[in-house]
Amino acid sequence: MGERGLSFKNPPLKEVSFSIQFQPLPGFHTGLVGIAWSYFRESYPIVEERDELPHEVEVFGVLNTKRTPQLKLMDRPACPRLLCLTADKQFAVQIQKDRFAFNWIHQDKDEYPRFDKLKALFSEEVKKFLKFSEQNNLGEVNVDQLELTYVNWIPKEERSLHDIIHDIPGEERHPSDIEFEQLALNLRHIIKDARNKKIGRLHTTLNYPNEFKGDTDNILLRYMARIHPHSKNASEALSEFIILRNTINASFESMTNKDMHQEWNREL
Amino acid sequence: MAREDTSLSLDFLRLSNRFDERSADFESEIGPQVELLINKVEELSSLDEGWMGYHSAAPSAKSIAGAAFFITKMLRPDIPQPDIFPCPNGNIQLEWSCFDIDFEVEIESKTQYYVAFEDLATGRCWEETFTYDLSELKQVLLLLLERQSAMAKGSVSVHG
Repeated sequence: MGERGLSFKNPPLKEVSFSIQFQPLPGFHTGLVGIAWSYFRESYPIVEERDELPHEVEVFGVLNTKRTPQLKLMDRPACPRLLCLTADKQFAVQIQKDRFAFNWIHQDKDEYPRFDKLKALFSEEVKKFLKFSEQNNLGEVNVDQLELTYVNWIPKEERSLHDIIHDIPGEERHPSDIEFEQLALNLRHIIKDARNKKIGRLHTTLNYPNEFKGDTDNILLRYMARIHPHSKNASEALSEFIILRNTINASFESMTNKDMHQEWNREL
Repeated sequence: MAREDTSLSLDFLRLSNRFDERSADFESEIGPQVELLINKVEELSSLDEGWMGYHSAAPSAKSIAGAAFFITKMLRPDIPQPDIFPCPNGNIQLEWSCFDIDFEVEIESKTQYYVAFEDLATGRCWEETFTYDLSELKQVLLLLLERQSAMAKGSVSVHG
C-alpha cells in the first residue's frame, strides 16, 4: 500500500503512539528496568512507573465475549512498565517485557511533527532498545504485533456533532423535550493485506463529551490500528507502520466533514 | 531441572476476569462447562518435566495460556466438551472424537495451533497450522454442534 494523500497543517491531534509488541523477553526483570532507562536517560530524564499493559493479539474467528478470563502465570510481582519522558513532556518511550512504545504528546504551541518524522524518531529509539536487549543477553525480539494510535481532540465550539462527524443524526431529528447528553461509539474494522488475508484491526472510538477530560469542549476521536507484521524482526517490521497510518488516514478522511478539513488547513 | 520456556515457574495460576463494569447489558458469557475445562488446564500446570518418561517436557506457560485462551474464545457452552491432554513436547492438546468426527487441536501458544481433522462420514480430512485466523476451526466446532443436534434427533450414529 502506498502513501495516502492526507495532510493537514493544523490537525486536531493530541497524541500519536507507535508500539511494537513482541514475545516476552525471558530474562527481563525489575533489575533491568533501571538499566533500560540508562539507554534513554539523556533524552528522557523524567521517569515514571506504570502498570504493565496486557499482551493483546488480534485474532479472528473467535467468540466476541465481553468477559475474557485470562490465566496469569506469575511467580513474582509484575514487572512495571517504564515510562520515560523528555523534559518538555513532548515525547515518551515506554518499556516493558513484551512491548516498546514511543509517544508524541501535543503540548501548547507545538506543531504536529508529521508521521515521517515521528516514525524516524521511533526507529532510532527502537535501535536503542534492541541494543539494550542485545547487550543484556535478553534474546531475540520477536515482534508479533504493530500498533499505531492517533488521538484527536476536535474542538466542538458552537458546531453540532454532525457538522464535524458524518452520519451522526442532527439534534433537530430528536424531540425537543429531551436533551442530548452523550455520544459513545466504538467501531471495529478488519485490516486485510493485498491477498485479502486478515492481518489486523482498526479500533475507532468516538466520544462526546471527551471521556478523558469529561469536558464539553472537545470531541474525542481515537484510532488504534494493529497488524501482525510479515517479519518478526523488529527493524524489518517497522516499514509496515505505513499500512497502519494509511488505514487511519482513510478512516479519518471519510468520517470527518470536508468543512472541517478546510478548518484544519488540508494540504494534500 | 529448569523449565524450557521462560523464567516463569508457574507457582500458581490465577483466573482473573477483565470486564467492563460500565456496560449496561453486561452478563457473564463464561459457563460452568468452560470453567471446568479451564480447571483441567490449570491442573496440567502441576506436571513436572519427565511426567511421561525422560524426554517429556512439562506443559509450557505459553501452551497453558494458549489453551485457556482457546477454550474461552472458541468454545460455546453448547459445543461438545473436548478431552484435554498434555503433550510430551510441552504443548496441550484438545481432542474431540465423536459424531463421526476426529478433531485434534495441539496448542503451542495463543497464536500457534497444529490441527488435524477427519470426518468419517464424508471422508474429508486435513492437517494444518493456524495462527491468528481461527475461523476454520470455528466451522469444525459448529459442525460438531450440528452433528450433536442431529444425533439428538436420532439420525446419526456415534463413534468414540
